[in-house]
This record gives sequence, structure tokens and C-alpha cells, in this order.
Amino acid sequence: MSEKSSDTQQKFRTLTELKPSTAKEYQDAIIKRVDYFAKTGTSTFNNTIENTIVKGANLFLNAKDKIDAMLGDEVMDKVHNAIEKILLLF
Amino acid sequence: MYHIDGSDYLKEKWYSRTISVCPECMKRIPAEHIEEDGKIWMHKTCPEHGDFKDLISSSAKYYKWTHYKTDKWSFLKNGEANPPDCEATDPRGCPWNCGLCPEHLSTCSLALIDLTNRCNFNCNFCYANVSKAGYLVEPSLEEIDRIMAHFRGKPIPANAIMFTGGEPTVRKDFPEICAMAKKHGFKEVIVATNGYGFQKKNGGLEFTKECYEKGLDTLYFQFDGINNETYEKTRGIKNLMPYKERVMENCRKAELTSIVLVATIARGVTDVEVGNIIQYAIDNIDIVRGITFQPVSLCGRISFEEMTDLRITNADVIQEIDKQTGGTVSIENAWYPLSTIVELGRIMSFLAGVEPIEFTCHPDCGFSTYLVVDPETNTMVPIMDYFDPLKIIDFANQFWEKIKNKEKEPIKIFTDLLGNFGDAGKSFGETLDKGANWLDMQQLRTRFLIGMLQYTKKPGKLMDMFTRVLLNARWDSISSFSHGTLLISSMHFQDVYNFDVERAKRCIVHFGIAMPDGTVKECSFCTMNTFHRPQIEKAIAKKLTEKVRNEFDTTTGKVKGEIISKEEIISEIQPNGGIPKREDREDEI
Repeated sequence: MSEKSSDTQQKFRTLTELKPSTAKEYQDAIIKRVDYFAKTGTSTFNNTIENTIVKGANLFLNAKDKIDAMLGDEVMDKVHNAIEKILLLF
Repeated sequence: MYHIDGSDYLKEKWYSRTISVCPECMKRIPAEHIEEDGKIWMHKTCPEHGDFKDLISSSAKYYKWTHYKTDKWSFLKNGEANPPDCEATDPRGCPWNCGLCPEHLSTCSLALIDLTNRCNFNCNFCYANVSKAGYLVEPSLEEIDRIMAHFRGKPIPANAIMFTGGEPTVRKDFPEICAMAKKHGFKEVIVATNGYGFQKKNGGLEFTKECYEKGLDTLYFQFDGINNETYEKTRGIKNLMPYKERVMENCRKAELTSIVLVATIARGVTDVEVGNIIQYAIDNIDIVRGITFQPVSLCGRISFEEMTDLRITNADVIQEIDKQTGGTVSIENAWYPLSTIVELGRIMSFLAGVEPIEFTCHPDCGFSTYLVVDPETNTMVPIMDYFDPLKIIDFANQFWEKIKNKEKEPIKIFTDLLGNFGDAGKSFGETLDKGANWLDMQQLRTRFLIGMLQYTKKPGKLMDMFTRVLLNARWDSISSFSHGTLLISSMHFQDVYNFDVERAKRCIVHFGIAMPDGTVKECSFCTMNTFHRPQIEKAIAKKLTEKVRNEFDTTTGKVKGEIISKEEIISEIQPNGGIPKREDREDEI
């Protein structure tokens, strides 16, 4: 990851690869922060309704991911446009 | 490049007009932005001092993207500005009426207070330096309190505050000032620091802990690279990296987990470090939340040759990032102007009933992107891989257009209907209307959430946080989301050569200055540093004692008589009589 340039003796590092644990470290950073707020007792992370909605949204995204893949780009665009039109009806 | 590749818009040569100033006499003069050789240049002519030319963007293609507009939206926004603080009495107009005047088009998102012009460093390009100035600028606690009250007392209050200097942590009362900011209701308390107070071998950790406990949220941490040689060039100090590492370690131990690395980018000096800095941030992701690259702004009078030698634009920075990250953070699809999320922010704050944050700065001011690690592949990707950004921008703009009047005109059907049946009827009507408004808000939230999620990909913990941000726009959600990402931004401050009134009018970063008459002057960042600082500091200066003079400005690390580098020489102020008229310098263009 790090190397020395013989001309300048300066270190130059490149983003060619990440440590195998980097993704976990990022996830841990989120979890640690959530725990920090949850301990305060008044956090959004202690809200049962919101936690349920977030779980629901996660399921929705999982399902959507699979459906989008099945539909293909063209049909998916049409579906999204139709949904958007409904959502913007006021 | 995004969705404008092959379009007529991209093929047409860019041309636009604005207002700038003459770098010699500072009078307002017309200016043009012209595309030449794939770049965008500012041309301007002062009747008295001749022609001036400066590079605005080294990539015309990227510039055009950041100025792209559809019939539904544009990156150029006007903010929901607060009422002005003063009249525009100076006939010269912007930037000479700062205070803020009625011409200003953005509200303040980040309030700045210069806590001192004392510093333990002695960087030759810095405007804040007690020894060079010969006077002390250091507001009292009462004055700081007054400035904070000013920013928080506005109809749209500033949510974040940053302490600047000089080096703010040389003040012994710095932790107390952090506590004061929290008491005033600032959600984010930030210090722009070289790390002085936090790095001390004796007491640095305790100081860090105390600041964190009293309310300091984020270090905006001067970080020019990972090589000692770089700091020798930029700061004139030898072996500075261990100093920087001590700051990181003490923050880690104190659980102060929000550091933004800030690098001033100068051509051939620090531009070679951008990849290093990104990698360093990734390696320290438990405490680093973001990186801000700041292309150096040019002070004093310099020649056209020096200008072309030194000028580095936002586009240069992101091209360098593209190159040094092997295309991971590509100029072709990763970057958006800060103003992109304005409507999104307005919707979220309206639906959640929280104070809005308005990033209505000019598209030329700054660009940003988020980097995230894809847990499936363990690769670093721009967050654009998680969204369909243009669809989201488009939906958010249309959604805001539909709902923006609801805040001013809530449902009052039942109050109007039952108002004629005495106080009891009116009261009952109000209760029913409250219920109707609540239901209306829930259906809006549901619509908004579905609209956004349909353009979202890759479910996971990060997207759970994003859902929460959409739902409640609360600080705990935003902060947790940011802990799973790395924000990279580039912010180009203005100087007299590239000054653009349209940018100044939309500035969202404002200094607050406690004036001797008891008022607070609010001044946008670039106009303060480019035009107003000398006069303002003269008005508020305090006597510089020998004790203060001796206590600081001692850590230059420079041996007396040492030969300084070309970069240092060029960055010194060099009066040269301006730039000759265009007909006299054909060979230079």
C-alpha cells in the first residue's frame, strides 16, 4: 500500500486495494455511533415505530432490487415514471 | 460526463457575464466567462488599469455540468434568505455593503468566529498572524456570546459554528467557548485547527476530552499530506507529521470521532498528496468523517505568469483525485455541486419540523461526493453507485414545488367552518385542523419516502441510516449516516482575480464580528478576507503586549537566513504594477 519514491523520498500511497476488514470497520463505525445515541435514551434509535418503518423500507429495497433486475432498464423506467406521477399528484 | 455527453449544450462554447472587481483599484467592473482551449477563463477590463484574465475552471466540460439546468431545476439557487441586517448604502454595491445587505441571496449555514489571531505557527500565506499584524484580535467571552446570539436569533438560524483564527486552541477558555455554543443551540460545533491544543504531550488528551465533553463535535484539521517534506514547504516546520499523529491518537482515545482533514492545495506542493490524504482518511475511518480540499487563493498583486503558475481550480483538484485514486473517484460521474441537495434538505426539514440547512452557495464554490465501502466487494465506491442521483434531484425538486406553500398555509378548513359557532366551535375546529395537518404530513412523508427509495439501490446498514435521515432529518441519524461514509469536498475561495459577485451574494459561510458599537457585523467569507478584513480588524484591534508577542509565533522551524522555496517567494505579496493591457501582452495569452 505504501511505497517510497526514489526521486523525492516522499511516500505515495494508492487506492489499489483495501484491507480485507475495511468494510467491517465502516459498518462498525455506524453501529458504534448508533449505540452512542441509543444510550442517550431520547434517540430516534429508540423509537419503535421508526425502527419498524426502517425494517419495512429495508425489505422494500430488497424486493425492489430483485424486481428491478427482472424488469430490465426500459420497463423499470416506465414503472418508475408511473409511480412518480402518482406520488406527485396533489 | 454524467448525462450531458453528446448534447448540444456540451458542444456549444460557454459564454456568460457577471460582475467582478479590478484587482488594482477594487472598483466593480463587468466580467465575462469564456471557454477557450477546453477551459473557462474570466476576462475583465478596468478602464484605468487594463485587462485581466484568470482561470475559473481547467475543465470546460465539468464547468458546464455544474451549470447545467433543466426546465425543472438548476444548480444555481437562491436561498430562503434571512431579513437583511443593514441597508445597501454604499453606491458601489456588492461587495461593499456587507453586513449583510438586502442583495444577499443565501442564509448562513456555517457561522464563523475568529477567536484570535494568535497562532503557534507562522505560515507566510496566512492572513491571521498577530506578529505581522502588530495588533491583537481576540473577542471577549461577552463578545463571542453576542455573536452566537446574533446567528441563532435569526428566523433561519445557523445550525453549525466554526471557530477559526489564528489557532483557536491557544485560548485557555476554548472549552468554555464550546460549551457556550451548545448552550446557544448550535448542533455542530467545529474548530479549524492545526491541532495545537490536542497534540500536547502533556495535557493534550485531557484537553481533547474536556473540549469533547463541553460540546466540541468536529475538528476541521489542517492536514496537508502524510510527508514531513510537504509540511516543510507549506508551513515551514520540520517533522510535523508526529504532531499531526498525536492529534489523531488523542481524539481516538477521547472518543472524539469526527475529524475532517483539510488540505490547502497548491500546484506541485500539495496536489501530489491528494491520494495519500484519501488513503489516510480511509485507514482512520473510525475517527475521520471527511476531507476538504481547498485550492489556494491568491493574495496581493501578482503577474499573469505567476497567476498561471499558481492558479489551481476545483476541476484541477478533482482531476487529480481521479488520477490518484485510479479512477475510483472519477471526474466523470462522482461529483456534484453542494447546492444539489437544497430541495432535498428543505423537504426533510419541513416534514420533520426541524431547522432547515440551506446549501444555496454558487455552483463554482464547491463540489462534493461521498465515498463508501461496498460490503459485498470490499471496494471503495462513490455513493452515486447507491442512488440514481439525477432521478432523485428531479423528484425532490418537483416534490418541493408541490409542497413548499404548505408551511405558510396549513389546513384551516375546520377552523373556518366552525369559527362562527363561538369559542368552543373555534377551538374544536382548530383541534380537527391539527389532526388534518398531522394526517396530511404523514401522507406526504410516505409519498416522499417511496419516491426516494424507488431510486435507491443496494440495501444495507447505510441505506437504513439514509431511510432514517429521510424520515426524521435528526442529527443522530445524519451523524450515524456520516460515520459509514467519507465525505470528500473541494471548496475554492475567491480572491480579487476570480471574484464573482454572483458567488459572493450566495455565500453560506459567514463571519460574525462583534463591533465596538455593540452590534454584530455578519460578513460572507470571501468578501471578509478579500475586502473587509483590514478595516474591520483595525476597528476591533486590541493592544499587542510583549507577553503575547513572545508567547506565540515561535514554532516556525525555520533557520534564520535559510533560503526559501520558489513557492514561498511567489506566494509573498509582490506589487508589480498590475497586468499590462491586452494588446501589450498577446504573447502571454
